[in-house]
Amino acid sequence: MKRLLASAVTGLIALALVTACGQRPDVDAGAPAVTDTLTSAPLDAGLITDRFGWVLSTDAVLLTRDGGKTFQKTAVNVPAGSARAAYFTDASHGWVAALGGTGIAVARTADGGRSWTASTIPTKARIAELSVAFTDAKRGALVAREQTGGAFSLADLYATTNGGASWRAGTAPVAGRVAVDTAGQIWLAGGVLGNELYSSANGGGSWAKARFSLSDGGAPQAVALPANGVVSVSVSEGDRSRVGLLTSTDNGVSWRETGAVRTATDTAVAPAVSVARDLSVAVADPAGGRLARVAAADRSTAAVTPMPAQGLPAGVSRMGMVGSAGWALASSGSCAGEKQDCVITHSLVATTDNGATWHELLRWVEKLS
Amino acid sequence: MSTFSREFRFRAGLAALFLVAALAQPTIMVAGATPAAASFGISTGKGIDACGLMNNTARAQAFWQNTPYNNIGVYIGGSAAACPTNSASFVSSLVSMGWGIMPLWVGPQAPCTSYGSRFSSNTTTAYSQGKNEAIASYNKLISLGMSTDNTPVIYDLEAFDTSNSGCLSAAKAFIRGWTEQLHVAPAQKAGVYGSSCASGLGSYASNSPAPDFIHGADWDGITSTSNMACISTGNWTLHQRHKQYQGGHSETWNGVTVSVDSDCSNGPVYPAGDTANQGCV
Repeated sequence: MKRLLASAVTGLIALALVTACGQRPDVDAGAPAVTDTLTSAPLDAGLITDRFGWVLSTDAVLLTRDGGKTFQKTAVNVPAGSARAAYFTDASHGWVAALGGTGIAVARTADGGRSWTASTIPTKARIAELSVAFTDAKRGALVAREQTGGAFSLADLYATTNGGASWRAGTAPVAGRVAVDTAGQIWLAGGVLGNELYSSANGGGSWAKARFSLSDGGAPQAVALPANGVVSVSVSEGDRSRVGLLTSTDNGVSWRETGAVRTATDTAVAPAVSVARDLSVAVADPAGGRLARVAAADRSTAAVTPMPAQGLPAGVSRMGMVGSAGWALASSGSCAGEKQDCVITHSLVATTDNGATWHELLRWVEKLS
Repeated sequence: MSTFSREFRFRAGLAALFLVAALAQPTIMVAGATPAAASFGISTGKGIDACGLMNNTARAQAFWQNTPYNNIGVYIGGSAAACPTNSASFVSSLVSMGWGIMPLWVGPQAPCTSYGSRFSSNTTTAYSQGKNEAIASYNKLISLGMSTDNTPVIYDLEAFDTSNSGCLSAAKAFIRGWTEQLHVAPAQKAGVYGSSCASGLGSYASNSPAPDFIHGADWDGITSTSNMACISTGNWTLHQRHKQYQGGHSETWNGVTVSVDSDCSNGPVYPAGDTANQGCV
C-alpha cells in the first residue's frame, strides 16, 4: 500500500497562507484562544506542519501559518452553507467546493489562497453533502451526496485530471467521504451505516468493495478512509468500542486487523484517527480526555487503552498529528436543564506535546433551543 | 388483531371499492377511523432519525438523557429498510425512556427511480401495492408489541422526478392505497416522509383520503414545521407536520457519537406527545 503513502485523507494536508497581518496575542496552552474568527460551525480542518493549517466552516475558509495563534479568512468566492468541502495537497494547491444555485462551485488555488479560480459542476440531484480530495495538483475526485432519508445512501461522483478545471461524471456505489491515492485510485468510505469501503481504478467507472477481516470475526460499525496504508474501523463492544487498525497486502482488496485501541464509550461513526508518515497511529477516544498513540512496530491486536490527554474534548471528528504537534476538531452537545438550554460546542484544539495536553484554538457554540 | 383479520379487512375494503366503482363515484370514500384508545400524542419537540441508534438501547439512552431530543424515528421495516428493528424489547425500552416514536416504513419507491424496490407505474397496481404495504406495516406494529389504535406510521417515499406525470400519478395512487388501508379500523394515522419538494408531498393533499400528516425533508436548517418548501401553509395545519430540517451529520451526546438527521415536530408520535417548546411550531 505504498501508493497510499502521501495520500493522507483527513488531516495531513499541506496548506498555503494568505498573510500574517492582524496578529493576535500569543495564546497560552490551556486557555481559550481566538474565539471570534468563527462565525459559523466548523465543518472540517487540516494540519500539515506544526505551523500551517486550515479550517472550513459553513461560511468561511480560515488559514493559519503560526500553528493556530492567528487565523485569517481567505477570499474564496463560493456559496455559504453546510454542503461544503475543502482539501489542500500542499502549501500551494487547495480546493473548496460548495453547493450553489446552479450546481457545485469548485474554487481552486495554486498560490496558497492568494487567488482562486472557479468552475461549476452542473447537477440535477438535490445535494446534501460534499467531499473532495486530490492526490496532486491534477488528479482529484468529488462526491456529492444526494438528499435522502437515513435508509438510503446515494451519491454522484466527479473526477478530474486537470486540477479541477473540468470534471467527468462517474458513478458512486454509496455516499460518503472520498480520497485519491498516489496511483490515482479513488477510495470511498460510507454507505447507510457508514461501514463500506470501495475503490475505483478508472475514475468511478467501476468499483471494488473492500473486505474486512477483524480479530473477533465480527463486522465493522463504521469505516474510515485509508490513510498511509491503514484503514481504521469502529467495532461496537457493548457500551464501549474497539478501533481496529487494518492493513492490506493485496493492494486494498482485503484488509486484516493488525492493531486495535479500546475506547471508553461506544461510537457508531468512523473513528478519529491520524496515521503519520512513519505509520504511527493516533486514536482519539470519542468520550474525550484520552488519546492512544501506537507506533507501527508496537501494533498488535491486543487492544491498547488510550492514555490521559488533558483538554482533548469529546466528539473528535477530525485529527491530524505532525510529529509532536496535532489538531483535533470536535463537537459535543450538552444541556443546562432537562431538554432545555442545549448547545453543541464545536472546538478546534491543538497539541504541541505529542497529545499529552491540548489547548483550544477556536470555538463555536451552537444554541439548539 | 391477527394477520388474518387484517387481510379480511383488506378484502372487505376491496369489495367496498368495487361497489363504489360500480356506483361511478369519482373518489374512494373511506369510513372514518373509529376512535379508540389513543396510542399517540402531539409532540412539539425535537427529534432525530438514525440508523446508528436502531436496536441499541445504550446509544438511545445516551441521546435521550440531558439532550434536547424528545422523538426518534424508528425504522420498523419494509423491503428497502436498511436498518429495521425486529426487537419488541428495543421499542419497549424506548417507550420506557420517554421517547416519542415516529415509526417509519421503507418499502418500494417510485417507478421512475433507480431504487431496487419500486412500485408499479400502473395506478391500479400501485394503489393495491400501497394497501399491501400498509397491511405489512400494521402487522409489524403488532409483532413489535406496539398498540395499533391511532398509531402514526410514516411511509418513506424518497425523491423522484415529479415532473414525470405518470410517475407522480402512480405515487399518488400508491399513497392513496397506503392511507386508505391504514384507515381501516382500528385505524392508524397515515404519514408520508419525503423531500418536501421532490417526493410529491404537496400533491398528496388532494388525495382522497389525504395522508393524516407529513414528515417533510427540507434541509434548510429552519426548525419551524410551518416553514416547509413546496408545501402550502394551508395544508396539514392541525398538528400534522414533522420536519426534517437537517440531514445526516454526526452528533456526540454523553460521549456517544452517532450520525443523525434532525427533526422538529408539530404532529403525532407514539405512544404520547410532549409539551416541548423548541421552535417547531
